[in-house]
Amino acid sequence: MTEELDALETAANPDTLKRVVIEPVTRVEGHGKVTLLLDDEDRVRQARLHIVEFRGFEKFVQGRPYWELPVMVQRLCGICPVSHHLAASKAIDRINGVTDLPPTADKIRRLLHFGQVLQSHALHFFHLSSPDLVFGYDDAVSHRNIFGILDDHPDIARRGIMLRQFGQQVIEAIAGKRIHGNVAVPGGVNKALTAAERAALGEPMKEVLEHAKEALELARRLFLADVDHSSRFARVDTAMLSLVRNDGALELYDGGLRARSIDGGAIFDHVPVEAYGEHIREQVKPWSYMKFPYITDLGRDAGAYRVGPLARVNNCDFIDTPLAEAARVEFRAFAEPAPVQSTLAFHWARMIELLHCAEAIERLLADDDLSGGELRSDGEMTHEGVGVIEAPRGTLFHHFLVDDQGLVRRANLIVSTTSNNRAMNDSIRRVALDELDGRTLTEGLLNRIEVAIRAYDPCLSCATHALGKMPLALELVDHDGDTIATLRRDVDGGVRRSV
Amino acid sequence: MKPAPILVIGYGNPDRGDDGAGIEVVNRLARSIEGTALEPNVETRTAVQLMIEHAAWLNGRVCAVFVDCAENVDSPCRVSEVEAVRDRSYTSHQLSPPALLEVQQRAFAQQPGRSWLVEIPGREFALAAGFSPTTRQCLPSCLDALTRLVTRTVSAFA
Repeated sequence: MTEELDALETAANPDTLKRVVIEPVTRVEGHGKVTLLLDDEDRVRQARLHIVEFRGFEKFVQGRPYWELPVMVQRLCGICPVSHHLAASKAIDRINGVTDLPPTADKIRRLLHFGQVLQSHALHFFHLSSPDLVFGYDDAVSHRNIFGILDDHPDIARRGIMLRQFGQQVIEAIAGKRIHGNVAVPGGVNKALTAAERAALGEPMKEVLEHAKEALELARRLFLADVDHSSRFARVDTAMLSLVRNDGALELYDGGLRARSIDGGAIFDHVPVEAYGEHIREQVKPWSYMKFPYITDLGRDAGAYRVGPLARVNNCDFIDTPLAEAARVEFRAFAEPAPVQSTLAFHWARMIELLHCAEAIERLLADDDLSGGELRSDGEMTHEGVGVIEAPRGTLFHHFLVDDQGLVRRANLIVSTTSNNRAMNDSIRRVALDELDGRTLTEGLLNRIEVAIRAYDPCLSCATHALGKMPLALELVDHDGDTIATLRRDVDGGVRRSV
Repeated sequence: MKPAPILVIGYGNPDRGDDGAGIEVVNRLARSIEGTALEPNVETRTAVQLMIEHAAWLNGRVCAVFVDCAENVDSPCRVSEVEAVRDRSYTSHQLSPPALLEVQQRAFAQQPGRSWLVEIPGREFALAAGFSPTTRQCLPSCLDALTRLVTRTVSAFA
């Protein structure tokens, strides 16, 4: 990150500045707002992404039996409940002393996960982001949405609908419901797929693959249409973090942790997920409910990293499905050996993954292990479990400590969006400096801030858990709106009063 | 595989009291037609709310029936025909049946031959399990009306 961007985190004299608020940030999951502070010449002096909702799951799972976790924590989210369900399930596998699942259980969970990532990526690209990319940032608000796409490009809308619908169909077939289903149990799953269910899911596969290829082509084309803009818009240079398979392949369900530096060098590689705490720390800032994780080795200031499709496609050595691998090679050629840092490249990478998911689903549906009879493994109970998965939005950490009765003592969640918090803030500062600074603000200009945020596909409702460390500011304001007194509780628990 | 000619979608939030009554009626219908001549002709689905992707469910149907719970219904059950209209519910998160039909028309250039909205009265929509006395009382009548509608439709094309 640069000093130029860091300087925009906190203005020296905020009380004297004009305040512009984008609230709510639209076409993202959850609720957030952006505040900009401008001086008299409309120069941007401060830019922040605020998360205005609070979840607190880390606190209220305490005291609950650990086997309830996979069902409870998926209530974090209505978009990616499967990711939370599986991450928690992996953690409680470890608490149950299970390290290897039967092939049927492992493949059922993977299939479920591919369905989840596919539907989530389709939702984000087609419903939320494509209007900006297809119509332009300045298009009329009333038209710049999925229904505008439906009117002007029904073929694109149809692809989005079919891909999302198929991903949800996979989830429903396995978990019983499209949202908040239940299939993973300690050490395995509670159900396999019958041959008939596999055949039914496989029926639209050819069409799904065609839609996925077209989606990738659209994302690629949109990026390449103006390479200069695509490369510099909201760009921030960061390290990249993701899981990778033992052989370096793209891995969404399991594997070890890999972090690459800005120039592409290894910061760490194949780190067992249980050791995440040695490599990642979290910082709390007084103005946000969302924490700011960083790579320990790089330090608090330089340790920001990104997760999600951009990080995964940059980090892996290859993708084990042919069409997605060919797309990855073309994508990486842009910056190799350094990672592709363009924020808008998230969309391209996301569609590479979507195609990978479609290919992987087709491959898995042909695997008879999905219909096997051995669904669970057992082991010796332990008191701690870490489950890490690549959720659609990035690496998702669930870490639980339990007592002798199996009740949760402590929980730590590092949700994908949280990992991108610093980068998202720097991206909006980049946009503020490049596009807004000194100009008369218009809706289209402000939309550029949202475009930067949307590229990360943040799920703001998943990501806010800083309970107990939550800073609080209380202002006493007179009838003219002037602040008379301020009471502030800082992240360290200290209380300051100013009059 | 060819879809069943009739699709019945119950929608609402079961965690919000009466709002889940549409889903309850559809689940009761699914149980009641098991093993009958209606079963191969009728597919039942449920959803918390109607969303864009549900337009794909409607493809290839002769008839679509939406079952919802509504506050402004006085009779035990209100049945009305619906047509594709882009109404004020047109958002990406929650669509009315007419708006969903309109999405299907635009995206897939098709729609069911006829579509119906079956509404059961609701009185309590706060976070709660179970139904208010009024709604509970209306469930059997609503199921009867839905069954009659579905039977009549099957007879018409059989």
